[in-house]
Amino acid sequence: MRLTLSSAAAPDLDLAGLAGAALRRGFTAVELVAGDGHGIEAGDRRAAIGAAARLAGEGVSPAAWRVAAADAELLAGLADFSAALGAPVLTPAPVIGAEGWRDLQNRYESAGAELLVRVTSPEEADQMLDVSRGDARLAWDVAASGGRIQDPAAMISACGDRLAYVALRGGGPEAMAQEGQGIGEMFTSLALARYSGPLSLRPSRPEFHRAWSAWLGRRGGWGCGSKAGGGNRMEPVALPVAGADR
Amino acid sequence: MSEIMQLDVRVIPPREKHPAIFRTFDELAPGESFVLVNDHDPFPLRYQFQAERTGAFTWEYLEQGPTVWRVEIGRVAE
Repeated sequence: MRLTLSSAAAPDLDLAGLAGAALRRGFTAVELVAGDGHGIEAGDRRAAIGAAARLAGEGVSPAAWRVAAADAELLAGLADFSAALGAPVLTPAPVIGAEGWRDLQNRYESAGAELLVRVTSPEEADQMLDVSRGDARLAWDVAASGGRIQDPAAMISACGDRLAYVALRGGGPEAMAQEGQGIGEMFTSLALARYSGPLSLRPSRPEFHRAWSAWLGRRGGWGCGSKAGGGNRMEPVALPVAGADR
Repeated sequence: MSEIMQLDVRVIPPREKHPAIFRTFDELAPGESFVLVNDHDPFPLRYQFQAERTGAFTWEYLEQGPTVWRVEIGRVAE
């Protein structure tokens, strides 16, 4: 697997800042969330080409372009953009039938681009593979149900060789607090399945942004008025620790 | 999916790292190996392997920092 930093972990950073933050943690890929501070507008092909070149110059590759909406027309309009960026579009499952899916897939194939559909459970993976007749490439958006990742081996099995992306909420500075949620088991299952694709990380909740900021080696704090003006000062960050009350 | 088995433990909760590594190792067939990725030199783990899987493993550094360490850990062929 290839650990990847989501721009959601540092949504105020421009592209160079995001690449620098990733490299400080030894990550060589970034997930770009539409609307974050990287400065790339969805659909702007020229900006995508420039971004791909700038990232390559930093030794980082774009792992995916994440969108929140799954409108088929919007997705079709992103095919050339995705090809220019050199990264797949990461989308929720579009509400379309088999024929609509085939049209969309053809659009991406002819552009030399790729579409990844986010799924959170084996049932969703099965559904998507049914609609696409096994053609869809899947992104597992890992969700901890009841505080624990449920049966990762079943999810990996449901996706099979169509699994092309994994996105985890947490990890990074939250790892200590996520003990007992099944992350170790999930990573083991992915390794045993020989999964070699990206595994992106982002904060699980907005209140962890400051912890992520520190973890990524950024100076100063977070948000309005907190820009680093005073050199290296960084406030300690307290995280809840699983089992601390035992 | 690829043929190279890789376990990146950099963001696994600390107390779950070694169990994940040993479980992966125990699933290997004789002669198979996996690549462990970590954010520091995992040499204490090597001592644990020497104690708990004596003579059953191989250990080869592929990358030694400063940010990332990669070690190929193999199960000795029978």
